Amino acid sequence: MDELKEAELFNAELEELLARPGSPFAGTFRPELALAQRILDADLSRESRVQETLGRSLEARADEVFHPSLLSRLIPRPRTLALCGALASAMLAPLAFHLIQSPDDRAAQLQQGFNAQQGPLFYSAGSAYEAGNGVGSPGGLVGEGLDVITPLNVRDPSNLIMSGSDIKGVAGGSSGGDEDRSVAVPPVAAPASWENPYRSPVDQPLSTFSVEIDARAFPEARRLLDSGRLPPPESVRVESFVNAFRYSYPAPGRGQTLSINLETASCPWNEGHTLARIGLRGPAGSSLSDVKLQVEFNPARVKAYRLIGYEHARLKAGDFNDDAKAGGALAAGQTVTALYEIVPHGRDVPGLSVDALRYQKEIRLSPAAGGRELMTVKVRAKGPHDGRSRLQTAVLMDSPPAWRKASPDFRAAAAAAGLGMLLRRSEYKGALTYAMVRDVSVPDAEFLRLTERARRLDSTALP
Amino acid sequence: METAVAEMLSANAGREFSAFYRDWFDRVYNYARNRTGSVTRADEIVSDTFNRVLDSWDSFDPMKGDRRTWLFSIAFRAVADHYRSETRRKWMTLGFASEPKEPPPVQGLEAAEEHRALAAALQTLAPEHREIVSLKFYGGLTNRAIAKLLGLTEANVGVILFRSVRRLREVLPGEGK
Repeated sequence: MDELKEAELFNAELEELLARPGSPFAGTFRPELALAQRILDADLSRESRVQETLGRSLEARADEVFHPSLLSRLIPRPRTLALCGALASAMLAPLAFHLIQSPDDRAAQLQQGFNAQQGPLFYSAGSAYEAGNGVGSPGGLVGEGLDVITPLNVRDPSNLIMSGSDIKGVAGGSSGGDEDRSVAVPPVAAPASWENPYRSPVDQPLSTFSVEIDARAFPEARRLLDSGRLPPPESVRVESFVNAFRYSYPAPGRGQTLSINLETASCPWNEGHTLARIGLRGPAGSSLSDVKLQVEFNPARVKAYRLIGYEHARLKAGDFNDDAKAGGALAAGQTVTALYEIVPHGRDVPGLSVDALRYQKEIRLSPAAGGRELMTVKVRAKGPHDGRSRLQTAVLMDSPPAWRKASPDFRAAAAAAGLGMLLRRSEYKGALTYAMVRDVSVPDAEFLRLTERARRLDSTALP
Repeated sequence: METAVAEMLSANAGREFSAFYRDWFDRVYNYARNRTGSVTRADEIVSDTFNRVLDSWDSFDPMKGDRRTWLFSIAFRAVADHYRSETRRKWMTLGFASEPKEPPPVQGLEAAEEHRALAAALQTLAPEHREIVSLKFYGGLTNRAIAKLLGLTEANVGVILFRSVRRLREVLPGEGK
């Protein structure tokens, strides 16, 4: 038989069989078609690292794309999404505010005592602080935060080594060659590497990060919650939740570049643990750039510590004093808040078990470690006319009161972190529940409304 | 009232789309995987493809063809765009050999071994022939649809397909000729 004739027969049969569902070539006697079935069966899709997360983010996007509102017909797409979201929440916010059922009367009382002149503390929809986040700013379109899932550990080489996993950003691959590495171990199923792990101050006394906060992450999560969906866990940035609150830190004093406000109290979700809060506030008139933080923990007081959120903002210890290494920016009068969860000695460290060392005994402590100091916070920042950064330090003493006695600022930060951790499916959540978040929170209507929404949507959550 | 109907329609479209994603993820992934030979790039292309699918979900016209052909023509363009952007990135070479470290198979060692052998055999085909084989078997496209996509004649596609499969049989262990 000549080749053309043979090819024709092959193709005719192939075409016919391919139209069948399932395994179209099963039972065929033509070896070429049996091979075709083998090709069809050669399924490597299990190796995909994005199937789940992509599915979730697409579903979230589908909500937007298929929402047939009048606005979306009038304005061309991507921008529409941002605008619709913003307008919808801006219109609904006062209503929601009105409808919010306060969990108890305590709400109204505390509201007055706490910064009442500023109105709602939690940035509510349409607030000036957010205007640039989703709507007008370049690259700030709402769709973007979702269709690009960049696991937070990809920028941090040490994380790659520690977790042995390499989860590649879906569409973020064009950003640089050094990120495009493969490690011969498949990614772990649990999103463990999406959180900063506990570290021992003996191994790593310094924790360094820049105050970079993805301002889009929180409004995005809120928009999803408002549209009746839980945000995909990997899109939830806990630090963005924490910094969605307004804090009443004092303005920097004379001679200070910024004010450092430290506070500690017991950790609501892990008995025996302590939360330490670092709050920065920039000066009223000018903004600061390259703001970097470095915290040194006292190993005599701290068995392990964990920076909550800021996974993508971590710096190497040596970067702190290196002015060539960029940090985050702090607008005039703006605040930045970070929390550490601290495990004191005598408590187990969740998810961390290390045998005693064979070749080392005890580390040598400086006299300062013998005192009650928990940690030292160092901040570097550059003023608008500064060529070099300026250093400022503060020390936090180890005397945590119960969280119920902590300041409203502290409670607001802890509650926001708690909500973020629940939505992020944190493996460190301990006894945390939505009810606890509500208890810890200051009575901010918008925040409580969001927490309640998240609780209802999250069927797996405890009441 | 009108909004209730609209919401129902949008919920339906959403469900339809998620079902479509679940049904077709594997095929698109395998297609992308065989075209690029890389886990990372396959992931990028699948993501790209389904995002584009979502963007133009409403504009798909069932009178002009089936969703499957439509899906794979989008995947085909996603691969093409990907290669174009890669060429611009000089630091990265193309092809199967360029990414030596892939993760080991997650499950089913033996089956994965078989799949790997097939994938390797597919990589011995000329790129345009591999394209046709991939579109045919993973995409299930008709020769006419493939011809249209690649600017070839239908008969041409048929012959290439036949020759490619014959060649694969020569290369593959267990396909004794």
